[in-house]
Amino acid sequence: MSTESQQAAIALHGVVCAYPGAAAPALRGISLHVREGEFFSILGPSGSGKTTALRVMAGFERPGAGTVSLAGRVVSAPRLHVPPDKRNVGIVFQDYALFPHLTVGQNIAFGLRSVPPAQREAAVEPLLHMSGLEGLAGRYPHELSGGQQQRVAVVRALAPGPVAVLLDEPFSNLDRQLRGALRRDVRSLIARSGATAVLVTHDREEALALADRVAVLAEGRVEQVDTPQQLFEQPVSALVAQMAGPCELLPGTYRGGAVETLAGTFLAEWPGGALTDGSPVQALIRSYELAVEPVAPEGAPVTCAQVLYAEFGGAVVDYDLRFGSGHELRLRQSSDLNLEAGQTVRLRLKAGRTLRVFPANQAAGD
Amino acid sequence: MVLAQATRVRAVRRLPPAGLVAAGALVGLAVLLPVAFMTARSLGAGTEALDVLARWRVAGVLARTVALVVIVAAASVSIAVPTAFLTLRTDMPLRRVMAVATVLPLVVPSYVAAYVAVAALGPRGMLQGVLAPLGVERLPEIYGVWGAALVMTVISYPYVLLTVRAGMMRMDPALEEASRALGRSLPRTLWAVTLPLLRPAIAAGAVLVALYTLSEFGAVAILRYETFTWAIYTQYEAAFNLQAASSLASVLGVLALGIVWLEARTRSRGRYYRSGSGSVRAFVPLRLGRWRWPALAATTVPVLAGLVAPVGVLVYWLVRGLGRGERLDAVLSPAWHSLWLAGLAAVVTVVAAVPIALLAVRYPGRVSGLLERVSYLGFALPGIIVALGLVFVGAKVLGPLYQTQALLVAGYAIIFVSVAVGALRSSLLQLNPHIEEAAQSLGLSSWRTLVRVTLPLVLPGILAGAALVLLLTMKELPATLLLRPAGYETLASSVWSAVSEAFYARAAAPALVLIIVTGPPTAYLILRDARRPRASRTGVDPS
Repeated sequence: MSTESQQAAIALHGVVCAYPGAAAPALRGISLHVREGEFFSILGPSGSGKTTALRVMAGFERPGAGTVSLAGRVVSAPRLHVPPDKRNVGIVFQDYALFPHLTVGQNIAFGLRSVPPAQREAAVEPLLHMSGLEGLAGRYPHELSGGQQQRVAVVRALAPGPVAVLLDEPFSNLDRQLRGALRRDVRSLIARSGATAVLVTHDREEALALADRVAVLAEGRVEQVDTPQQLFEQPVSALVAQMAGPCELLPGTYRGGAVETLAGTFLAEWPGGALTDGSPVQALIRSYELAVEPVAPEGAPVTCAQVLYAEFGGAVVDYDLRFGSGHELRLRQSSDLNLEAGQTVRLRLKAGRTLRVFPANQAAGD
Repeated sequence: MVLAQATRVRAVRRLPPAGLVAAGALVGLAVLLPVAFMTARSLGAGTEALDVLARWRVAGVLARTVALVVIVAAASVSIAVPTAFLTLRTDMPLRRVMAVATVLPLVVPSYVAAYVAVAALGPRGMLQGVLAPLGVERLPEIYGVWGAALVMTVISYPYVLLTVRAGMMRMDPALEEASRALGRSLPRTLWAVTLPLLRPAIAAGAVLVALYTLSEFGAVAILRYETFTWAIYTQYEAAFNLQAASSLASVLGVLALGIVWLEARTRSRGRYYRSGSGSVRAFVPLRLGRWRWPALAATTVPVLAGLVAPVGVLVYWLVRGLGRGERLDAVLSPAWHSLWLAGLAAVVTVVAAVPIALLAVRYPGRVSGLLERVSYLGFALPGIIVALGLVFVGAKVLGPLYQTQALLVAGYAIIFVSVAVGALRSSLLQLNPHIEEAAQSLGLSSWRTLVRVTLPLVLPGILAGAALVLLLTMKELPATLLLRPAGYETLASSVWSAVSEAFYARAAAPALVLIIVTGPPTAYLILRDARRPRASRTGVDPS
């Protein structure tokens, strides 16, 4: 633990944070260790406390319990609160919060307090160059495009050489088509500066594409911290699975290394400990692990399904299936399959795959 | 918000119905007529007017007026900005109560505040009476620039407070947070980010206060500080020198329009400061620590000076007057006259405002824009100019109407029509024009659509406008004095005449009734307006 906090750019220990008047605390004791130089992401649905976590790091909120350290220095603890301006943490807001009364150059130079005013213009120049904003130093924020505004916000946050730069849903205000390109821009901008970054988002694509490691937050608690790939492949809860990729959950019963569901019996695994036979579980259904096979409609068992609807999407087709039990499931398959509505099908686990299951009571969220 | 957006998008050029344009033009002409008459009068005077200007030491009047305007505006800003910050952004105790209370001094009519100041602080006033036995023989002079500035400031700083608070509420907390994260401490952030961002709001409020101070008549007259309005009045009333009065009025009119122009400029410049879309998150309240209670004490000072003390002094003089044989029922007839005139004025003004507002919202274009601006003229120009203009009109063309209720009500309508237009305008903007188009597609003529659909739906706006005009009319002084039928006393005129003759006890009853009747609804309307996200342009006169 102690070695981890030494190399951590940002360390949170048991942080609790409640807003006055709120029914439940926004953070219910979270611990996170963001390593130096890494691109860390906090992923969670709205109301999970992710923005609060970021505001606690920046010093805008005061935790009720727990400690926060930045580069080994304790900045929040019981009876200790270092104000935001003494933390040297950069922040990029969702709406960028560019100072509308200052030019681009003045915005970027705003945090360069150690540079004498006469030299600020010169100091800003390489930053403008690095971010592809040459020639825009004299413009006002409202004269820039959304993407340019965002780059100014990122460069402004990076300019003073912060311990870490915190990004609060910085892409949510942008056109969906622009996001991909801008994500790469921001990623390389931050990578070149060598700064540690924390991205808060509810967009899984964003978190998984950008981050070295992702923390999944739910209801003020950390569910799992892992690399994007591990989150996707080895989620510790149904909630993490849902946050990490498109999936469906099927209720079933665990018995002897397999799960019995209304869609059939499949090989199953649960890494969280021993499951007793007969215990109710939730099976994680991901389209790519399952094959859909047409069968003859006559005498098909109840675990077979009927294709209700096929939604063509180019290389893939989304099938809505209804099982004999009445349960419905949506699966994405390659368009080679070419099923039609009304056909009878069954599900088969692809070779070498195992369905991940979660104890049912866990999935219900305690 | 969504609907307002929709109407703006739908604002396609259509030709307005001829009847509507004719009605609007009629209102526009009525507003222009007195001003045109007066301008003609002072222009016609030619070099003689210049002589008159010189003789009346216009430079001196100008200097005094400008000095008062600048002092009051500056003092109002320096009270309003800290007050807005303390009541909106900190954990000061009772801040919600104080947020309302600090606005309330604006319900005190300026001439009542001036009368109270003289009655309490003047020679032979209450304070002198208390201090005389202690050997204090002279108090600082209440008459003159400092007295006038004090009185005008305590009743008009709320206008700056309202604009600054609206500006603060629109502000994105992320801007200050960004500055803090970039290493600037709270005081530096307030200086480098918050204050510059509030500048348009501060300027708008200051300009509003400047305009009101410029137009102010009753208070400066009672405090014997000769600004344009009082100089005009004395020329007209005492010397009956219409020539000098109209020349002075032209200079005042130019000054007033100059300030209005300035205000329009600050308004349009303010647009680019506005932060982006989306809901604005609340600020984290600043912890004042041991300064919480001192902060509360500081914010109560202007409320005490602008509201509590005046009402207390009025009650004192009322009781004292009753003890010496003043009769309370003497206030009944002026009260009835005030209500009657104000009711008439409200109806006439709203009817006049309907065509202007409809044209401006539903048929935007050059003609509609011009009419709206003309209707604003009556409000922008000091009431005494409009009143004087109507005196000329009455004397020259509408002889039989001179000193009748009809001319007085017309005067009120000209002065306040833009207030009603503002109220109607904002409720019309919220009405989706598709609703009117649906009615027409169902076979209603445009006239019947107006009567059966539009007007019922904007009824809240109509009522709010009428109420505002009613309240403003009851407090109006200069037009009332110049245009009222001889011997027809209203609450405002009875306060005025009693104070002019130093019957402080006699003035107390009408002044108190005025505050009790107009105060609560005025406060309600203004606070309701202030809570809306987009401040509408109702504009309320402090006098």
